[in-house]
Amino acid sequence: MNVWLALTPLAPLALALLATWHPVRPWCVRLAPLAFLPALVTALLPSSGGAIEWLLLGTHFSLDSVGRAFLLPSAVLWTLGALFARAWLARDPARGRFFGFFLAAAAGNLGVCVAQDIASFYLLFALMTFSAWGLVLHRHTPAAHRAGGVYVTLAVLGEAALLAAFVLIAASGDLSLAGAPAAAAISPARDLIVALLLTGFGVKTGVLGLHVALPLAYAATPAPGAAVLAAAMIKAGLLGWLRFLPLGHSLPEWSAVFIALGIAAAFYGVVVGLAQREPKTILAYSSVSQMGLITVGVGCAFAGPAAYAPALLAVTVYALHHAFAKGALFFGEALARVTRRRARRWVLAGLALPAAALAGAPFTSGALAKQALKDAVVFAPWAGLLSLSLTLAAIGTTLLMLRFLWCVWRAPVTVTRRPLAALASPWLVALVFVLVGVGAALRLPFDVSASALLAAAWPVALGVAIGALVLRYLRASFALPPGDVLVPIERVLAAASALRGPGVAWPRLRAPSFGGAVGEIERALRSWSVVGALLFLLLGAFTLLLVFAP
Amino acid sequence: MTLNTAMPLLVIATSLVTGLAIFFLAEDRHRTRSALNLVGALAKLALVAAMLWGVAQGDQYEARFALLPGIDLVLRADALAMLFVTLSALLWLFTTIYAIGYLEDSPNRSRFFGFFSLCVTSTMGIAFAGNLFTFFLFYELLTLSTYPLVAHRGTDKALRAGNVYLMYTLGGGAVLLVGVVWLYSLLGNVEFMHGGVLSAVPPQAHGQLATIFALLIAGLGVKAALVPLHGWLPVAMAAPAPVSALLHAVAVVKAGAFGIVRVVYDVYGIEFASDLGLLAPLALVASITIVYGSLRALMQDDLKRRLAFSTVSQVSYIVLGVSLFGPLGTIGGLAHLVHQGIMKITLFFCAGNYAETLGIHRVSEMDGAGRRMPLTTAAFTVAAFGMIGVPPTAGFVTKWYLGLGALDAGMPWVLGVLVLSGVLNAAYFLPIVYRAWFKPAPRRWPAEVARGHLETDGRLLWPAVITAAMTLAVGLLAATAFSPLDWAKLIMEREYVR
Repeated sequence: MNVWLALTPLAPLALALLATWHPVRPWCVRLAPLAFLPALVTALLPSSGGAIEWLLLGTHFSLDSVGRAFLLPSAVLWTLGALFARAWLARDPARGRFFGFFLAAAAGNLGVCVAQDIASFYLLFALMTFSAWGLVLHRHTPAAHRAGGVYVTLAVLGEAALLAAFVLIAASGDLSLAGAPAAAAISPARDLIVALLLTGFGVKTGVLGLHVALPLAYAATPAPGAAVLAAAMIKAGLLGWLRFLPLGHSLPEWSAVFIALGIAAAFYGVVVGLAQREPKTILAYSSVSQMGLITVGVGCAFAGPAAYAPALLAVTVYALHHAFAKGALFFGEALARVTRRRARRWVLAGLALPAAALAGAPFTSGALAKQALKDAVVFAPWAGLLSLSLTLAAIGTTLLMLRFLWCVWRAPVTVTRRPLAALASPWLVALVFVLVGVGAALRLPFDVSASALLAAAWPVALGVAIGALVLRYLRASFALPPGDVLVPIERVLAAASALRGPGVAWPRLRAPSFGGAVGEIERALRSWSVVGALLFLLLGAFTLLLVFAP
Repeated sequence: MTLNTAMPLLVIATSLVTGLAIFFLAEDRHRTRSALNLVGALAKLALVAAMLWGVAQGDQYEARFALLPGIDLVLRADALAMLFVTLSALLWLFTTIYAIGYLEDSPNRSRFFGFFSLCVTSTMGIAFAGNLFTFFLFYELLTLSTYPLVAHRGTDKALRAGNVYLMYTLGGGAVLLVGVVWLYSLLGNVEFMHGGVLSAVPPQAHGQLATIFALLIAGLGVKAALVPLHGWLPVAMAAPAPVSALLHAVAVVKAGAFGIVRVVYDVYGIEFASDLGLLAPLALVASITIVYGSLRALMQDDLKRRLAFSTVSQVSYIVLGVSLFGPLGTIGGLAHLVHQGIMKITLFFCAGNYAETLGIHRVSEMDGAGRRMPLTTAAFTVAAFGMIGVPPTAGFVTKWYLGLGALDAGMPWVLGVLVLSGVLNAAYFLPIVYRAWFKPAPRRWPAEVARGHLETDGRLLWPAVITAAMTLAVGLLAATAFSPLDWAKLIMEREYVR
């Protein structure tokens, strides 16, 4: 086996283990960005895979085209994240611990891209999931502990669903990933497998209903951690779907389910995201929305063999685009926090680029991704409607990005002496990737015909116009608590645990309680959260109608 | 007497002789006693390693003595016996080291280590037993040699725990005896054989065989802590930590589970048991035990009680694997015999370390323990993830094979039990891990004792760290020769391919 390939997960893992030893910790922090060099080399150069028979249940590692499409952005983002984290946490006494978890999560994330058998995929996926728990908890604030509790609860449920799915797939006797989709397709428990994979990986990708950990976790995690969570690790869930789901087989019911969930999430993320104030929470809901669109692409791949190739292309291009854009948004958001008005103007100008890309403005990676998705959607039976939905979603995304920029602009300045240059450089690199990286990497030419440009431009323009109107005349905003439907769920759980009595040491899943004077606000929030739940149900019912209507 | 005859006897003698010698040592002969213990444990381990190699090559080790007319005392080392013997011999070494550190300066150490050795002696006898009679003999010896250990501290609580233990296990022994005698009246002496010996019994006696099966399982189920026969185990956590390790990982609970394995595979035969319809009820009992134990564990604040209920749940994975007809279930159950031992002993070592070093006995006192005792907590974390079944730990390998075995045996609902159990395990282990690593430490620990320059006494620390490393190793290297999984496959081949 190629040594770079072997080092892809091993180098960060080794450094993470070293970071547990106190005397060498500063060195681990310093060397962290270099730990991803093997992954970068592997992603860029041809490599040979190989089997390690004695490891686990017998393992196999190699890099195929799908793996490469995920490894490249992940490796870049982890490198940038490490560079950013070194500067961002320069004064954090616990940065050694942060880097330990950071590197371990990276090892898992990069490893799943090259894993070619079920057991090692599961191992690396679990490594990533549980290491990221440490990133979420890093700040030790009540919000971080709440986010950590929600995160790990969902993670455990997801892992459990995955174990069941993997065992059902492996019952065919084939442990290779190459054979997994076919094994799932012919399994008597096919539908159960797909459902388990949908939920198991859906915890990561933020499928509607399982998305509640995302807003809390992104807001609680230090900026570089949030960036890799949102840009790189979320994609590992998507990779899981591509690796295991029986895509390319004609499963119209599952196609409908994925597309319905995806469209619902695309709009739900926008609506709830618009009701947020914290920029990182807005970005989280944007991720819910964007991953919803990617889920639509996955749904299209269930439409039959002909749909598979265009759907796969759409999903990978979209994932690549979203990874860089989201990374750039998170880095820039953090940068804006430590800059005063004047410099912040420049940061905001820079942030406008990935924001426009997410909205799908012409000449951005987003335009490419949207086009690829529209090409895939034609294979779905309700193509016209879906295509319209994508356009509407672009308007929504534009609004959401405007809201984000507005909140970044208004966010209070945190006066810290952080090395601005060291923070800005990884961000700028991410911006460059947003601008040209995707097009170059995929060698896909931009469609520069007037009609295509117009098609990409008008939703963005309309969104900007609506945003301007709202800003000028309405000035009204409504608020929903981060985690939306989680809040009523937590109340039910808290009531249940109160019934059960004391003595259980689980971190109480409870919204932070407010002081007496703020009781009014809390009551308002509560009513809003009820509205949020209703909204969620209505949207779900509506979408189902939309999909199943003849 | 040839070497092949002598080997099982020698293995038993290494702990029997040292145990008897220790009884006669004066209380203050600390060094001599420790030396005897360690030499005995190491010698046993060396002998076992040699036998393990021999059995893998197909050598036969058997010692047979006529005891009564028609009843032989048979000690035989087959692959299954070696699985249990190796586990016990290895963990006994670590438990001994741990106990030496744990009981430093406490009274009655000669008595303790004497019975400690006898306890392991009985376990070796159980493992090597070549027929039901021999098995029963050592099984009862184990009960008697463990009682003084459970009651060792002599407090009211300890004595009560000892009484409860004795009532349960003697009762179980009596039921087992009824089963053994009934079987003897049907067939004469019952030798353990691959593939079972009962399939030749005429069909009109099959009803009797089913009843006998129920009796045997009930008798063995007391020690294996099958619900509702598990009541003694949480009470027995009043015993010192090394005894808990012995109860939960090395000897007692394992002896019950091992007995069930023997009865199903080598008395009834898995095919015959399946034909009689005995496996489905067994799977049901095991499943109920798994879920019930986890639910009860979730409700405990006392750390050792939580671990005790966790044992109730986890040991039944072995029984579950046995009750799944097919090679994959067998492999999973047998491998878990070893896996559960390694993981659970780590957890009890760690619980003992927290109690002895910081005075922590409750989950709610665990806040910040990871900062104060990082290695212990790292070991605990690894074992806890193993219990949940997260790869690459030993627990994952077990779950994987049990899950595949369940599908293979046409009992897909068992997969649901496994998944549920994994979630419940996470629900009662992760909060501990979370508290220890991520919660701020209290200003004062409940009862802190300085023990050397490490986070605690090295004799307490290193056994836990080593068994935690083993938890990872047997999972990561599951596909390697002589891994528990590999050995379980060997046993399976000898059981199914005849």
